[in-house]
Amino acid sequence: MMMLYLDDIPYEEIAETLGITQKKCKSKNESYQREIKSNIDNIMELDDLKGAWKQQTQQTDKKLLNNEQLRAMLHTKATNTIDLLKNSVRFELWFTVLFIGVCAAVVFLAEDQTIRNISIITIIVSCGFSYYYYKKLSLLNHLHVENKPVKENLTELITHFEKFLWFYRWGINILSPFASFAGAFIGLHVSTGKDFIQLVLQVKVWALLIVILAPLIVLFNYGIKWYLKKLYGNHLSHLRFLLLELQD
Amino acid sequence: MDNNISEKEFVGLINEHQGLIHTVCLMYERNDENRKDLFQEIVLQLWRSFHTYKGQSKITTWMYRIALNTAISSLRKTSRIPESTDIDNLQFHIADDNESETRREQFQMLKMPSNNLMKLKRQ
Repeated sequence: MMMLYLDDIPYEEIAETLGITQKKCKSKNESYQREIKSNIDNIMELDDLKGAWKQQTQQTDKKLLNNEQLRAMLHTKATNTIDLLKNSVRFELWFTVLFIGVCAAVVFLAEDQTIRNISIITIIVSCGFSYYYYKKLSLLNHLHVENKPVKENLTELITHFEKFLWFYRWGINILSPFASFAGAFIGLHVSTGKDFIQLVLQVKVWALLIVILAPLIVLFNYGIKWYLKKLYGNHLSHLRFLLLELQD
Repeated sequence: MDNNISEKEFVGLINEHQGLIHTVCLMYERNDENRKDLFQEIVLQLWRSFHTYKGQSKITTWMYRIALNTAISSLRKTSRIPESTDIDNLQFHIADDNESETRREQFQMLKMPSNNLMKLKRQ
């Protein structure tokens, strides 16, 4: 808001850009100005700040790009993190689908019953992961910039971002135990040579696997929580803070 | 053909108002390389949204909206911590002459947005 003010943008336009009322825009700007004055005391007047801002922006005018440079920009690939994330999830989705195809072929072609069993279990687990990646991708598709006032855009962005993080965390928290137990049963099936269904029906085996895998799953859960907070926590807090600034 | 015409129009428009985009980038990124990336990202977003501009508002309002929305929503590749709208970051871009030294001091006194962010970080 302050930046727009320093750029001599009229209140009407600032309000339209941010999606707030002119009254709110005026009162917010006045409170910023009071805050600035209290910070800078008598050292600097607001007009000085405007002058400094203009001097600063004039310096960027020296770096203006020509039409050719601007046109070249339109034909480059997007480098923002959301697009990179989308590409990575898209790759994971296609890889999993391809993997399911390979496993399905093995089920039909393999003569060894053990290999067929492993392939069937792998297909079931992979279907879960495919859905996970698909849903993640559709949630990421909502995180795009639209021609909306900043406040409205922020509200939607926060909602979708929270949904994405929730699904990211709980999706992987549900799938990873599922995959771990499936992997453990396959391992036991291959190493002992016992029938897969019989192994699954044994309470003793379940108890043993729960004792071994449960602490790892809990640790993994905390690890994912920490990882997501580290990656996106500050960003989400920042978005919430900006929205609060426009709301209060 | 239509696409070419609109691309030409669009480039002309960006050229005319690119100072506005530079201003937003300056506010959101202190690092030169990141600022270039953000500039490119904003130009791309403006291009993608160009069809949504129907002329109901001023072109600069539309450009500010997209530019600010892009800057706010973009996740940083390095620290993932947005630079915020911290005005005192501008001290890094001011030339080293006497007048600018005064300006630098003035900017250093501007702690308003950073104070707010500090409150947020403490929560």
